[in-house]
Amino acid sequence: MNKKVLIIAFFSILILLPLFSILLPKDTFSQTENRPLQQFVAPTKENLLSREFMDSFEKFLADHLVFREAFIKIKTDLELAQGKKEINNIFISDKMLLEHIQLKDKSVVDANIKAINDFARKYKSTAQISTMLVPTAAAFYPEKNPSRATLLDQPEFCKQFYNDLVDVTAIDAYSFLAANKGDYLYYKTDHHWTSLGAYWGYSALAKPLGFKPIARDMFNIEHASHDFLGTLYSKALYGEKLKDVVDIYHYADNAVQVTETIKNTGTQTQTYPSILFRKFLNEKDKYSVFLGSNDPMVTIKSDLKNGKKILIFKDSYTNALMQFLPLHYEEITLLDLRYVNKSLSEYVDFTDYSQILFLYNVANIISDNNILKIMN
Amino acid sequence: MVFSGTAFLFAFLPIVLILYYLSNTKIKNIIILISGLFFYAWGEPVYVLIMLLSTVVDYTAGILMDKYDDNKRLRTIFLVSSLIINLGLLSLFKYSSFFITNMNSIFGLNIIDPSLRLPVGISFYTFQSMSYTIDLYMRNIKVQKSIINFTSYVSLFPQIVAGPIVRYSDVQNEIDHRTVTQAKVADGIGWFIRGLAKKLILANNIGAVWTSVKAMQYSELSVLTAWVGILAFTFQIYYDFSGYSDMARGLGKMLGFEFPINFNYPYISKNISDFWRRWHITLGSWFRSYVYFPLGGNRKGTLCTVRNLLIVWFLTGLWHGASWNFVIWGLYFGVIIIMERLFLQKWLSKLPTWLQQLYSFLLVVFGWVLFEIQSFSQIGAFFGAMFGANHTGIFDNQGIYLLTSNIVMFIICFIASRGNLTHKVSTISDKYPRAMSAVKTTFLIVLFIVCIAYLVNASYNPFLYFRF
Repeated sequence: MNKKVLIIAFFSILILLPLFSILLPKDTFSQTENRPLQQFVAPTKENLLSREFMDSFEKFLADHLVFREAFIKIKTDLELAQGKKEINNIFISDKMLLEHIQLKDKSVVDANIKAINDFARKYKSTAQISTMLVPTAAAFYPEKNPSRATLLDQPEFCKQFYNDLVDVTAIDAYSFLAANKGDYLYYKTDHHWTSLGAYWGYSALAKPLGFKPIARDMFNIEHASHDFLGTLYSKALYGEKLKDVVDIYHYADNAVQVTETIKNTGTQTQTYPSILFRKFLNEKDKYSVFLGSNDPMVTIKSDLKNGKKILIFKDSYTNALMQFLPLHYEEITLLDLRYVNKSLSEYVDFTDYSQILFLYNVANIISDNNILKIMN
Repeated sequence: MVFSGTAFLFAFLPIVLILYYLSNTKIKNIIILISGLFFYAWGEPVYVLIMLLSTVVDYTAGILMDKYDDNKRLRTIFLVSSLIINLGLLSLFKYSSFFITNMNSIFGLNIIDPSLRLPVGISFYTFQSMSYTIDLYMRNIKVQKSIINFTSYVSLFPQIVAGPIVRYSDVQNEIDHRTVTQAKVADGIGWFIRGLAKKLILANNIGAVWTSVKAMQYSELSVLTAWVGILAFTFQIYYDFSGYSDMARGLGKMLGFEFPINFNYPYISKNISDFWRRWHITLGSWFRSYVYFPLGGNRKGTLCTVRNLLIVWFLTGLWHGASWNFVIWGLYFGVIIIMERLFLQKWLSKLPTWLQQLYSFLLVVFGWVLFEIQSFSQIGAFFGAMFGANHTGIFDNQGIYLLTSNIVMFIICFIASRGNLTHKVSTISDKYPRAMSAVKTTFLIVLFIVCIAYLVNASYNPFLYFRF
């Protein structure tokens, strides 16, 4: 009797699971994982011999299996039940999720330093070149936790990084954030800083870049969303209870206003009236309310007529900072090198700017080599 | 294709089994043949030709040996040619780079290394099909006249890429006539699910611990971190490999075959000779039958026995990989086994059982350091870390974190490797057969679902034994 039950159960799972997976309509994009799902690729002689067909087919089946998310959650629950504190590189606690930041390849960092130095040597006569590294949330992880031993020491890393820079103004974001570390500086379920974190980053920029920061109480804070589950949640598929609040800072007396946000996708440009893209508040990735989806180049103009222009090489941390920085500049140009696929001279002339800033978070600078594109 | 992949589990296996069960006896072997070639070609779309070449050679050698049955010289020529071709292919693809690099460095030559990629499973299937020609020559088995049946033996998908090394003599009757019964299928499903769980739940998870330790600076490891790391590997390789063998055995049963058992709780061995009678049993017995005994075994005096053992363990090491550390690893066990035979065993047997088991287990763990780390300076550094040569001391946060966050997995791996639990379950089963059978069935079904959960989530899913 039990033999029959086992045989029937085994074959039901083996046959019905793929059958439903094939018959049911398939998504092309996973919202939670924030990535396109593998599509079916038809076999050809080339992709069969190179095994690309086989690899894509395996991924296709895994990506479109029915109950896929339920299965992934089963695994997460079992791992937590075993007392594991880390899932898919995310530390789990009942207070927040944290990305496990490790320096895997020192040569990536060295190449980035060299690229910035080479750039500075070339343009130091026409512009002030600065660099600000923003530590990620893991930098403020409780000192006593044993898992801390496996983390990159971010303040020390920044110090070393700054020491190796030549002719570059180093801007210390760490002390500003550390001075307020009890506050809500980083999202609990996302790898970005909150608007408050970005405010302290903006304050750190003020003195080196030569402007006077606006006090916090000069801003009206709008709680734009109360149910943000970010990228860390997606990686671990854990932490529904940790929902984040997305705040938007509005300069109180409207003394300065952004007039245009011009997004350049590389093939076309489009102009928007604000840095805010509110439709993202109703989608999964609510952080995109700041500047919307990623583009190679964004230009932000304000109604200030002080002639100040700055060029920023940046990652997505800078997006939240755009609530503040345009209050001091007539024009800000942002270049996200990860999305730049043609020569930079087609976008900008570096000699047009008197200030050029490299603004990256630590997790990015230790793993991403796209900065090397500045010398092409 | 790998058993723990989606393509196998959710496309290949259901389709092949449905076709297989619906077709009559004659077509069953054709299905095995085609599915086996497809299974192999999925991973090796080009090198599948090498496997076919080796198959045709051994089949033809068999037919010719049978035809010239009374001509001893011709029979020997056919056997030797088949062995030369098989071992030639193995040497060319597996050992040529190693050989040329060593030649170049010893004699200062500049021979160009062809850098051929290793075909998956070549060490397994050449040994399998060689067992056919050798046994036929020694008149232990009858000739296989059908090329379809012979090819379906070689390409039998459960065992083609990672063993067990099923000899032709193990399945010669089943290749021609076999029955599939409900009891066998249910038993096979049990073996398959347990094997899948060993691989996906135990090996992959405990293996992640070793992966992170392996990548660290060995001069910075504390004693604790080094031991946590190498113990993690000790369990990873056992559950990875024995899980694969269990899956193969289970799939074999579902198709009506009975494959030999490949692992018998090796980590409770009382000495190293015992360990090798429990670890990768089909490989040990292959070398015993086809190398050790033909060399005279232990019947020609102590000196000859020692020589024969060293040859066998040199080859066993080399079989595991074309690199000196594998050779050293093999000889390490050879030397221990010789010492055990000569005098050590007399002393060991006076010790309490747990101490004998500890002796054997520790030597095996040290062996894994030689096995898993390729460069000798790194091996030295790792042993140094294990015995406290580093400034990081005995405990550090790193080691404590690795241990505490994986402690449950370590305990499960440890208990499951000792077999006491299986023994308990079977004594309870004898008392309450009906209740226990229901419990076991439920457990297997839940385990299968958990395996699928781990598979879907598997960002970490390498197959260790594919290198060999």
